[in-house]
Amino acid sequence: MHLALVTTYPPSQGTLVEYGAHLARVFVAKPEIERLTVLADCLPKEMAAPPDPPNVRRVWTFGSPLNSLRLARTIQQLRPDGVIYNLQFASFGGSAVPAALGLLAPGMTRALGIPTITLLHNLFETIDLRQAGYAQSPFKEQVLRAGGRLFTRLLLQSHLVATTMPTYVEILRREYGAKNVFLAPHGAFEDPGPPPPLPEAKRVLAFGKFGTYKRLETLLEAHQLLLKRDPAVELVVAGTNSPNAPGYLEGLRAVYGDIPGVIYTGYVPEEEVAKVFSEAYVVAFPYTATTGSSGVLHQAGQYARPAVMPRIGDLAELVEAEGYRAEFFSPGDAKGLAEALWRLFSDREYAQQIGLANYRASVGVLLEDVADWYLLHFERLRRKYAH
Amino acid sequence: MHIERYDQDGRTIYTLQGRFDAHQVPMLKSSLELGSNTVLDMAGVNFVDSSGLALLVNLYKRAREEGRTLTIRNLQDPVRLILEITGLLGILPIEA
Repeated sequence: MHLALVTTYPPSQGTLVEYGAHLARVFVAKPEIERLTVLADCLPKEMAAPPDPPNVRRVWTFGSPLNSLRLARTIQQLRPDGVIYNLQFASFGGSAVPAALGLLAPGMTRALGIPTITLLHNLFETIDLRQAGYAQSPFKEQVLRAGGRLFTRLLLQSHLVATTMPTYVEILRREYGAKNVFLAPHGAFEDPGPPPPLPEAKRVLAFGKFGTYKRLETLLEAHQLLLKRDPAVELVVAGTNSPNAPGYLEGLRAVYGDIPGVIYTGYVPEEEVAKVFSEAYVVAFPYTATTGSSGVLHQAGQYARPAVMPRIGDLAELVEAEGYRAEFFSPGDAKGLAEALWRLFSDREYAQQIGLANYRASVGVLLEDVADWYLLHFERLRRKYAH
Repeated sequence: MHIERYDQDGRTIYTLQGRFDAHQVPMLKSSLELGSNTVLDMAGVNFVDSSGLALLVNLYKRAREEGRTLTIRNLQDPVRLILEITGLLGILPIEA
């Protein structure tokens, strides 16, 4: 089978890039896949990058309104046996028009007669658009919601749409009458081997792309409170600005730059990810909203790290539904966050228990197993549409 | 989880009982051996999580690759529901 995977791909710093890279890795290892073509995002001109593997073609550009046309043209030339899209609603652009126009691509692929599955990591319905930084006024929120419904309908033009949360399947079925939606677990990126022990250092890790719904102000204030209890506490901010929030981290450092014990790593290359997680005692999720199943939580689980999370939306649901455990705090409550972190620092055995529960939840299903589900769905689609 | 194995009419039948989740999957993996014609009787299974589903998919793929037959039967409603929501109900070899 020749499979095309549409995704962000390293060293791009777009969203879902780690997931896309791991999806490509597991698909290419499957005996059913004779050929995998990754249809990736173009890198910024100023980015120095090593050459891509030969099966990676950079054909779309974050923010361009022409992405669906470019993808359709490339797919028409390639004629793969199936196309899988790794998407969230802002994958193709930070503003409404390019983001929405890009989401036409799966429907266009289907129109070419090629079996198409879209893995949709979030839904408009479950996102607090204002908290997540996409709408600054009620009017804009209304407009975006209406647009969101329209483009969710367009995404549903895929032969199949996969989501990583059972509630998303329910919403798509209930609100849109969709019959072509299924649940596919997120999956752990790789079998991490035995769980690494917790480090001695009291180090908090925040990992991701910051500035929209992942905001660090509350965590930095909590860090200041923790320093009064133990001056050796460290906070590692690992990651970059979200593509939708340029300049966020720089602005944050200008305001909070004098707090001791804070390390900003910048972009973490894939080969450094294991070290960053293994050296952390706890992973904090400084979210003000959620936009879907959390890849960072799965990574925390892989490295047997306890999590501290806000009690919001589907994040808590994911924790419970997939067997993860976390200490919780109220969103925006720095004191509550500091207390939650301290409960773990002050009771190492308890922190280890939570970390091990997360480890078991994470490694229960590997992404390479999830890839088999997609291949079985493709096989069924190909049989159905063969004639 | 409790597993029993017996042979009947040339088929190897495993009856499974209890929860089929991440904590039980390693034990199941080591207990289940695919015969030429294997039946998983899940009448006693009231819960399956994604790791249990991954094992079912894995067994099905392996059986196909090795030219063996695998049948899953007697699903309880909660198990049928999770198979339906994952789209696996129409893919895995489930006996009506």
